Amino acid sequence: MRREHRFVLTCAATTCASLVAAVVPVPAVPRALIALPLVFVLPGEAILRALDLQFTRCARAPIVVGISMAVTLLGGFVLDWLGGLTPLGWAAWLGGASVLAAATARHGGTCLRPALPTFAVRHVLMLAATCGVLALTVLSTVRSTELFRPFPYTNFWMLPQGAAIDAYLIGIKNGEGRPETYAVRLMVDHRMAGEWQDLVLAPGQWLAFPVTIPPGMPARAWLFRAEQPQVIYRTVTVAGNEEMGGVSATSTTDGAS
Amino acid sequence: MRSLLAFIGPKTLSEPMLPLRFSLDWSLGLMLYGTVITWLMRAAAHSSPWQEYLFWGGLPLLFLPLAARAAWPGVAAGERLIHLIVLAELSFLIKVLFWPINFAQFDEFLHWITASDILEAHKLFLPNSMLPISPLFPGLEVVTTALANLSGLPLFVAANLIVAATRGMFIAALFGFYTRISGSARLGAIGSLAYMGGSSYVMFDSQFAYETLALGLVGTILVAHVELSAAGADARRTLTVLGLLAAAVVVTHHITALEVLSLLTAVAMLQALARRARWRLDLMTAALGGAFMAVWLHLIGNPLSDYIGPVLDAGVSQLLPMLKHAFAGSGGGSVASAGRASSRQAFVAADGSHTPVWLQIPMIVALPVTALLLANGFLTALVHARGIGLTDPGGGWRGLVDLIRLRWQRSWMLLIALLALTWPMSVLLRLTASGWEIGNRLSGLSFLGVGIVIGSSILHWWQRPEQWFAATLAGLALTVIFTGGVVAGWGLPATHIGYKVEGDALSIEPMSIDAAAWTKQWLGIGNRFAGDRCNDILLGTYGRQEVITSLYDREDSGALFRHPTLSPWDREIIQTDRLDYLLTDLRDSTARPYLIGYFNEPTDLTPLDPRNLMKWDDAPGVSRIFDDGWISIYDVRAMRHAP
Repeated sequence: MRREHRFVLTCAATTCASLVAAVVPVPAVPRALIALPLVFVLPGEAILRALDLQFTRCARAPIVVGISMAVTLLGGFVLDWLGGLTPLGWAAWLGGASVLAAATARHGGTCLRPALPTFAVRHVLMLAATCGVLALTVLSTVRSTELFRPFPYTNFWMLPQGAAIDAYLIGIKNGEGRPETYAVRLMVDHRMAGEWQDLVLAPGQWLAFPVTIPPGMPARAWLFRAEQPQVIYRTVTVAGNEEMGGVSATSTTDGAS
Repeated sequence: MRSLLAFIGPKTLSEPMLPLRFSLDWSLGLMLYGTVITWLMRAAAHSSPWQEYLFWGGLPLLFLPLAARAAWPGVAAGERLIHLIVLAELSFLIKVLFWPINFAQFDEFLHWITASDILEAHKLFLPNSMLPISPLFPGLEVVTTALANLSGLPLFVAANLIVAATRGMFIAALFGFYTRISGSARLGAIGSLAYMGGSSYVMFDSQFAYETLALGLVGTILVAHVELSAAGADARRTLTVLGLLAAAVVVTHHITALEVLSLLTAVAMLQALARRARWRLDLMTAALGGAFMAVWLHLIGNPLSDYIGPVLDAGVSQLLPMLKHAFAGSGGGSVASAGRASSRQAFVAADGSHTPVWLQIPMIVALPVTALLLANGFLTALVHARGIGLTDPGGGWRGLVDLIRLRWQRSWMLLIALLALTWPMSVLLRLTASGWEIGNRLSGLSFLGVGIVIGSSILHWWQRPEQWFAATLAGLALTVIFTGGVVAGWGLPATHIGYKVEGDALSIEPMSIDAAAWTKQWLGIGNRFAGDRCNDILLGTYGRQEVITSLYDREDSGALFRHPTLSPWDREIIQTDRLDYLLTDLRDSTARPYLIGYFNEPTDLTPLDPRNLMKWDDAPGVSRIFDDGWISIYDVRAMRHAP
């Protein structure tokens, strides 16, 4: 098969694959492998071939990547105008530009292929070791970053819930990095309106439960920890007005992280 | 005097004919070595007080062997390029590994907002209150969301792939450009290594920010320009390639676009002065780029004067008194005091913490080393622009006469060498309170010149592999310049030890992130929020909230937290800015801000009075809906809608 045909076919195949990946669920790795050449290589390579331009080997690669990115970002404005900033729109634009440019290349363009050196076993081992160390580096720093926790914390919140004007939600999330047992006390208009004890949450777990606060009533909810039951750990409030009313509260532990 | 003239005078650049060798052993061995050093540099991230020593000790160990091999005589151009790309990518990796689970640098959050808007709404030009100019130059976000859309990768991964590709593209382009304009791949490699010593290279130009992509595209413009010229490409081909790239830069970053247009215009003028064959085509290229810029600015309503003008004004107005102060000495009276007020104290953060002396040393040494190499190589690089060849016997001082008579062949070499003259300005601007940002960005441009001049200097006195003393000296000089650049551009914040109040990346930690994410989960997106500088960027990204800023709204959020009691002024701000919620962080009352201030507007650096933050507990109609011990969120919608 002639070179120009091979390249046109490569562009067409990648375009078809990306169009399929845009509409049908495709696993992440093959989808990324299709997308990378379409964004970084094919449009630029096709345009250079269409223009039949000759560059040195070291210079050609950055120019190809640069033109590919330029085609991508300028295409963004066209797609924005057409309302097509979607996976399908991108696949059509980048694939279409690549195939079109590749098809206009008369002689397949001039592409100096780098003379690849011969790989020995030791080179393969060095490359594999580099990939291994790289993976280890990324995984270990991700792990240490996830463990970085200068402020153990507990989120405590009280919010209106839904359309009903007296329905509220009280929530707790344990970010202390260890299991915690909590208690909640709700005061409405300075009177005890409900108390919930022994709310056990694992690290990262949260719970939320509905309460009723009559319209216009000021309310205050306190959170306590079992280890210091007399110390208010967190406070949230609902601003009220001058009205007074009754309170009812129910609790469910519905949430989990 | 004679020694001085010999030191700074133009010298003949000659390279001995050596067999060029491409070694896979060196290429892959150094790649493995560099990866191991990178692992060691970040092995103790977040967990050990030793991480500072590992990081800063590892930096020269990472750079030196790769740089030495890239600059070694007799190495094939392809192998030099591999070492340069490995260095570019590993120096990017050490930035990513600072916080490898998501974006962490302040500017990255600003562009994350714009990219998220595009990804979610499938539309461009949506407002971004944290950086209003970002949606108007959306090149980076368009490319990133294109990759995210096509690959299905998370935005963070797609963004890092784009930046990694841009880093590789830029350094390869720079190497190709230097090689082409100087005629020497070795000079190209040494110049590229020197370029890495710019203060913005390792951190600032590795960020997910619009300058990063724009700079990469500038690299391709430069190399494409000289390659097209060398290939004798006709106007159609030249204008197609350069027009595409120039248009891409124009819609990606304003200042970089202005810089590259200036370069294209200047080189066209130099070509015309020297009556070079392609000067008309070069002028057409510059005009095409200028036309793109003019059209784009017209379409987006020219926001540049509002955005860049104040920064430039402040930088220049602070630089002048500082220079006068320097020349007036201690007896300068008011000028001296004005100079002291506007200058930045070197190595001291806004919260008063000092950079350790051992860390100051590389930067302090890097300045005179750079200056010496520039003095040694500047005239050599200039005379080399005559372009007679690397072994021209008629160089020396006579070569300068040729330049005065407008006789040169390499206009790019001449222009880029002259750019080195902006280096002192970039250093001085970095010493001012407002101009440091311009100075930091100017360093990217000035180091284009610094690279070629330092390359010319080193190439002159290190020519053969057996010159071990010269090799050691060159390696050490390049390593010191590189390390000094990282200290100047990143410094202490390169390592993440504990939490700093308003320290941008040093303030990112799980509790603040969780509070911001909570707003998205429980309040929905798009609520109007006011908070402090660091929580604002988290609210805008993890929370997808609309944060008020003085850039976009009437008032900066800081005005709400400057007094211990509630005032009618507070209510007016809430109503005028249509605020829904306030976020307060009591940690702001525990220490001075590590960087700029508590809020986006520059404010007093004394720690906030906790009463300023807690006054909202007793404010009528205000509910405290969230509390995590430090961060509280207040619902002020009732106050906003109150008559």
